[in-house]
This record gives sequence, structure tokens and C-alpha cells, in this order.
Amino acid sequence: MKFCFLFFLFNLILVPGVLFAQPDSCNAVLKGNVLDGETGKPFQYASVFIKEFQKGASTDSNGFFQINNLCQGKVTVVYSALGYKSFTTSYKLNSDIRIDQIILHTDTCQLESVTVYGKKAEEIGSFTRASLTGKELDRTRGLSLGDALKELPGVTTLKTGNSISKPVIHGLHSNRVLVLNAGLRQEGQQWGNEHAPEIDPFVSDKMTVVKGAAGVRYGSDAIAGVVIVEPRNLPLKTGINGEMNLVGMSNNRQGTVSGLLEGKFGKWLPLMWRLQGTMSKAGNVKAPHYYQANTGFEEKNFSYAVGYNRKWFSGEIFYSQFNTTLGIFSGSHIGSVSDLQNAIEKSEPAVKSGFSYEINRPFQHVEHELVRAKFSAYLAKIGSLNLLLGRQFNNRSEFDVLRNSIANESKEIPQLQLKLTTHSADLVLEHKPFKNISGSIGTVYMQQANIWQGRFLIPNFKSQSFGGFIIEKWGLGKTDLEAGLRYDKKFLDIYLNDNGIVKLLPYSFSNFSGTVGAIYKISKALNWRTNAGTTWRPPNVNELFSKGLHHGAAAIEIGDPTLKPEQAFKLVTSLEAKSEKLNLESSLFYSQIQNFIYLKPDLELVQTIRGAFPSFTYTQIDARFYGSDLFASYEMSKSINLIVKGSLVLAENITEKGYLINIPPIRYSPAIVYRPRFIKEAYNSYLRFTLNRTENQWRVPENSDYANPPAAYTLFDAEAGTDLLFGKQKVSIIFQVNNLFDVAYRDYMNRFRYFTDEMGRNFTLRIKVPVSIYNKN
Amino acid sequence: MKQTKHIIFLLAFVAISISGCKKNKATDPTAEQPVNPGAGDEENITRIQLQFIDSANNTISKTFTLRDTDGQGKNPPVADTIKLEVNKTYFVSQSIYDDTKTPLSVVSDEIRKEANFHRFHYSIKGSLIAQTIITDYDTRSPAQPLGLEFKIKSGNAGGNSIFNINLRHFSNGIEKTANPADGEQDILVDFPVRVNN
Repeated sequence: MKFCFLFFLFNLILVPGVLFAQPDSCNAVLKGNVLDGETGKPFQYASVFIKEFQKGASTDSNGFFQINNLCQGKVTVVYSALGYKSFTTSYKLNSDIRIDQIILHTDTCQLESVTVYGKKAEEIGSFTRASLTGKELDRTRGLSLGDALKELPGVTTLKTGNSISKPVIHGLHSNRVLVLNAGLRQEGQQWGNEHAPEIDPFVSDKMTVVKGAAGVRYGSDAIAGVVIVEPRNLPLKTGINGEMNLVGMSNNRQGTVSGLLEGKFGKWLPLMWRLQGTMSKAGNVKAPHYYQANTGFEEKNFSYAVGYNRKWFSGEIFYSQFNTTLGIFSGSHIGSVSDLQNAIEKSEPAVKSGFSYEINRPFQHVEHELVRAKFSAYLAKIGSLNLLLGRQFNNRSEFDVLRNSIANESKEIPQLQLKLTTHSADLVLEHKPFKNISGSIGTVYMQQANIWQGRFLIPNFKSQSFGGFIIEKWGLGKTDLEAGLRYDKKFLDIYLNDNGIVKLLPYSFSNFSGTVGAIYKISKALNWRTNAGTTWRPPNVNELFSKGLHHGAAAIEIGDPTLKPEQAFKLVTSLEAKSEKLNLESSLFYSQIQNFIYLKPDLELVQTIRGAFPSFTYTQIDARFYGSDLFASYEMSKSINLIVKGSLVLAENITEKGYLINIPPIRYSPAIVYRPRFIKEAYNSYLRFTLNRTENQWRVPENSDYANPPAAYTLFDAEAGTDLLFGKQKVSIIFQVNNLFDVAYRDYMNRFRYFTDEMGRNFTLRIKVPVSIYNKN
Repeated sequence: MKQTKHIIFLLAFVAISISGCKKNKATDPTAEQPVNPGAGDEENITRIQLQFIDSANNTISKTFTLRDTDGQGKNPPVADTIKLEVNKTYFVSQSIYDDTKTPLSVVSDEIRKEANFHRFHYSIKGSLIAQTIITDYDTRSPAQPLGLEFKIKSGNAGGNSIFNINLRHFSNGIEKTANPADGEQDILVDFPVRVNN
């Protein structure tokens, strides 16, 4: 516990300490515009970088850029964009400088394949974000979305066994974390603890977590934050290129193959395209002393994109399909509370198993289909107008263990099926900067229909929601100020079957969301961001109408049709220091949620013929979450780098004066990275050792769990990576050993902590091969 | 000319985008739903019936029923009181039903078919039942008791007792045992018992 307070104190002292530091007197501004030499039109997303100050900007849709807070003197400026020749020049900065019409020409002798063309400006800059990209993303290939994002400070996972994992931001998950998949709100049955996001991480080359109440831009539900998974940008340069990823794991004998091919046709057909697919298969997971029966999974995903890009218009169609079949650990299927208590008392699961790829009941089969069309028109006087149309279809089937063994053999008929169809349309205008005010204004619409079959979990429903928002940013030299406001209205029609009669129960919810934020550039190496936001969340259908037994949890969950929406306030303040040697990001957050919906244990057991089960009812309280995230990377020498990550979340039930259940314990992980500089042939080589420490969670409500939270644990990971060149062919290799010492441990954030130890030692080999088939010179 | 070409491509592009949408999936939430929330649950049980036959004269003497019509709902099961005569031996045959299914689901037939994966255990709180002996067996060798058919020997009159039925289910490669804590619980119910002179 000492660590927890030290950590908190550290941030508490550091953040204001830096605020009071005297900023230097650098306030010159460099601004200008960049044109595309090919078309003569404004160049969007070109990068402008000042070498001396390691500071840059990217151009907006009108080709304009502005870099503030520059110190006086000579500056070297590099203008660049992928696929274009970079252009370097220097200026003498005495006061503000405006540079007109820098022209970038296409690069004719480009060697490496180009897959990315610049970075879109952040819509709300005052939010604290963390991104997984480049090498850091490569290190997580083959993992699920949730497990990959766990690499980011402040993000943990809520797991159900080994195959189902959901991202948790600052202690919250499911309906309080919005997942933005290709610009659309991911609409599956995300309310369920054992319903993982249906996304193939290979689609993306950058996954971002926004930590803050981001409801203004992304709509209700973004109470704790947003996970943004954006597909790679389509190539701008004529040619055909690709990438191949291979992942192999020893523990569950997982094999993953993911490939993509993309290109742009020549002048005769101005279309860009991409095909992408991933296949994965894994068998039973091995805990240090035994195999976990029925824990394999199979995944088959594919996506394609077609884009059309002209100077005044661009359009892109993105289609993706995600299909997974995942086994649920057999030892977690129990008939009653006494079975559960028996399972907890046993040190090993009763179900014995060897290794197998076979998936038996209980298992889930989930399909998610997403189509997105994105159109942008660049209107000279107004700005850029963006239309986003989306359709998602989620088909979830759950196959239970049946009393009837013959039916149990069949893998055909699911006991529960939920089909959710979502249509959405967003129209957003990013208006041209007016003096130093820039921003966007938009409207959103979404329509949903849900139907169920099999055993009852949630009723059929239809919903429609409308919203409108405005977000503006004032650039005031050293400080940028932001403010946004949004209004949403949601109509929810429930079709509840009451003993054969279908009743229509109409609900409607509406509310405002707001945000204010500031980015303060203290000095060239220090940045301070603060954002305060309010957002809300209407109660979900399961919270209103859930009624029934959850196997595995041995609990009856009962909804409350009178629940009110949750109203959240969240403040996040963070400090970023970037110098040659030190890279530090430290943030504090405080969040208060009114009418926080949670499952409160009822005191009486529900008696059924199948035994007595504890029941839980969805109840509203006021809750408080606060804590701190830390990321620090320090370069000790040219070849040795120290990295520290940590997350602290404290949660309290204000109404009942207690703690909340399922809050991640304190986690921190120091790592050391060694890069041998003397091997020229294997560039980008490194060795990395990581220690992962997870403390015991003792802040739990009394009498609300079947077993005490598991003990603290320490794991060691070792890793080596390199980029090899075979002639002109580059091959990136990463070799990892997780849980090096094969430690048997259980994790509080795994719902199967009652039944089994976590995965034992695991060796992973990742190979990435960029493929260049044809490039126009 | 160039403009026309671009317009054609634009149209082609929009056509591709529309073709990306599949339709005709049954997604109307107003459509008819399964009859009763409990009905969809294949594990649901609403009725247990015990038929007692007096071993002395082999005539049907008594039937006692336990019902839980709302399944997993908050209403507890309601059981008849098993009323027996002093110091007699009865043959008991157990029938289990899910009344929410059409046609009626006879769970006990299912269990009999799967005798190798099931085992009933009976216990008595109190002294009114002196002995229970299971009389039916599964098809293993050596055969193990199942428990849909059993014998009960009543004790002396006086006081109240509780007769407990516990059905264990062995699947997922768990070996069937005689231990009442092994396997998964399928049924756990209590009947009150009274013995009269």
C-alpha cells in the first residue's frame, strides 16, 4: 500500500510543481501554407517540423499550419509528407513569420513502401491520450484488442478466462467505455462482461485510448474514455504493396496469420484499395500445473477498403467482418453456489484435460459485420464537410452445456442468440479557422434493432438516437482553450414478452454533454493538458430488463425498469515532458458518477428446483473514481533505456460508504531496454526485460464476493527483437517469453479467478514482412 | 471528357459502397418472440412428482408434487408434504417435468436415457424416514445407482422431517462418482415429511 500513496503523492507534487515553474520567453509564431506540387491545391496532412525545437505541426484541410511559442533565432524547418520529397529551409525568427506557398513534389525515387500518409489533427486536444503504434503495436500482434491495449498506462482488462478480454479505462468498462471502430461506435452486445469487442487489431496501425469524459464528440457512454481503432489509411501512391504477419505461441499453441495487400491504380483509374485478412487458431491454455479444458478459440476476419481521392472530394468504403468461436473453460460451468464453493476450495479444477484444439460446450460464436462509407468535400470558403454512414450487424450465439448429453454433442443449436442491427449517419463540418478559432460542428443519428432467441436474457428493442454538437478551439499563443457542447436524445422501445403477450414499453432519454479544456505549453519540453467533461449514459436494456440465471457466475441478475441515466463528471490533468533523455507522461484523474448503476447483491437466496442462487439487482448509487497513470522513459545511455508504467485507480461507493467491486488493483511495470549499437546489419535490435507487478486488491465491498481477491503477484517477461535485411527485403522479428518463471497466479480482474490459475510460461514469435510488389517510379 | 470519367468512377464507387450492405436478415424486434422467457431455457424445471407405492399391497397409494412455476423467478418452489404411514416400505418413482415447453418436456425420461451421467442422492433431516435405497442402475459395468426409482422405509411417527433430493450431473469428462459433492448440481429440493400412525 505504501507504493500506492507514494505514487499518488508523486503525481500530486509533480503536476502543480511544474505549473509554477517559470516559462521562458519564447513566443514567436511560424505560420504558412503548403501546396501539392502535383495538383497545385492545398496540401492536407503535410508535416512541418522545426529541428531546433523538435516541434512540429501538420497542415489542415486548407494547407495551413501554425507553430506557436518559438524562441527567437535561426530555425531549420523541414516540410514533408510520405510519398513526397521533403523540403528543408531555414528562417531567422525575430517575431512572427508567415511563409506562403511551400510546394511539395512527389518523390520519384522512393524505396520503402508507403502505407501511411500523415496524422489527422486531434479533435479535442486537451484529452489525455495514449496510443499503441509502430513497434509497440507490433509487440502485441496476435493478442486480442483488450490484451493489446493493456500495454497503455491507465488501461487494464476485464477477462473471462483467457479468450475473452475487455478494455478497462480508469476502472470502468463495457458500456462506460466507447469503442470507435473505423469511426463508428462499435455496437455489439457490449454490456456483457463476457462479451469482448469484436475487432481485429490487425486492421489498424494505430490504436488510441482517450482518457476522459469524451461524450461531446463521441456521444453518450464515453464516461471513462474512448478506444479508437482506425483502419490504416489507404496508400496515396500508385503501386501494390502488402504486409504479412505471422504469430506463433507455445502455451496454447496459437497460430495467427494476417496479411494485407493494398495499392492505388494508375491515372486511368483513380482508386485506392486494400484487402486484409486474419486467421487465428488456439488450443487449451496451460496454467503452470494443468491445462484449462476447452479454452481454445478460432478467429477468421477479413476487411476491404476502396477509396477515391480528388482535390475537392474524397470517399472511402470500408467493410469488415469478424468471426470468432471461443471455448469457455469447462471448469467454470457450475450448477449452483455449493458447486462454486467446492470449486473455490479445490486448488485445481475438477475437469482434467490435456492439450486439444477442440471447442466444446460451453462456447460462444460471434459474428460482427461493419460497413462504413466516408465522404469528405473540401469547400474553399467553409471548410471540410464529412459524412459518415455506417451499418453494423452483430450476431451472438451462446452454446450452453446441456443436461441432455446427446444434444450436448451437437454444436448446431445455440441456447441464446442475440442479433443487433445498427445504422448510423454522422455529418460533421470542420470549419475553416476564423481568426484563431477552429473547430467542428456536427449532427449524428443512430438506429438500432435487437432480437433474441433461446433463453431469455434481454428483450427485443428498437432505438433511435439524435444528437448535435459543437467543439471550438481558441489558439492563444502558449495556451489553447477548448470548449464543446452536445445534446442527445434517445428513444428506446422495448418489446417485452409477458406470458405470451408482447407489451410495448417506450422510454426516452435526453441530456447535454459538455467539455472545457486547455493545453498549456509551459516550455518547449513541457506540456500541460487539462480537461473537464460531463457526459451521460442512458441505462442499458440489460440493466432495465435482465432476468435470469448466469451460468459460470451462479447468479441471478435482475433488472430495474425504473433506472435513471447515469451522469458523469470527469477531470483529467496531465503533464508531458519530452526532452532528449526523458519522456514523461503523468496524469491525475477524478471522476464522479451520479446514479451509477451496479449489481447489488440481494441478501436472500432465490430458491429454484435447480438449487438456491444468490440474486443481484441493478441498483443506482453515487460513485467516485480517482487515481493516477504514469509513463516514464529515461535514456540512461545511448544503448540503455529505462521504462516505467503504472496505474492506480481508487473507487468508492459514496451512497453506501464503501468500496466498489471489480476495480483493478494497483499495477506497475518497470522495464529495461538494451539496444546494441555495434551490430550494423541487424538494425533496430533490442533486448527487453519487464517486471509486471500487480498488487492485491483489498479495497473491496464486504460480503459481496465468493472468495477473497487473489494475492499480489510478480511476473517477468523477456523479449528480443530485430529487423533483418535479406537483400532488399526487410523482416522484423520479435521473440517474447511471458511469465518467464512459470508462476502460478490468479488475477482479480479475471472472472474465472475462482476456478483456475492464469496462463503459465508462454513463448511468442512474431514475424512481420513488408511486401513490395509494384511501385510506380 | 476528363470530368465525365471521374463522374463515372464516382458512381461506380457509390455502387460498390451500396453493394457492401447485405439485407434480408430477420431483424424485426416487433416480430413474435419466444412464448415465455423461461421456455427458451433448456435447463428449466418446473415440477417434480414423487409416486409412492405401498410395497405391501402394490397399489398406487400417494403422489406428492413440488412446483416452481416461475423457474428462476423470485417465487420459491412449493412442495406438498409427504405423508407416510408408520414403519412401511414404499417404492418411489420420480418424474420431473418442464411445463413451459410444448410438448411437455419430461426431464426424467431424458435423465433415464443418460443414466451414465447422472446420480441422485437422498438425505433426510430428522428421523421420520429410516432408510432410502436406490433400485435402478446405469449401464456401466459395474453398474452404478441412478436414483429415479428407489425404496423408502418410514420411521416412527412424531415431529417433522425434511427429505432432500440432490441430482448430480457428470459431463465434460468428469468421472461419475458416488460423492454427493462431485459433478454439477442439476436439482436440489426439499420436501417436508410427516408420518402418521
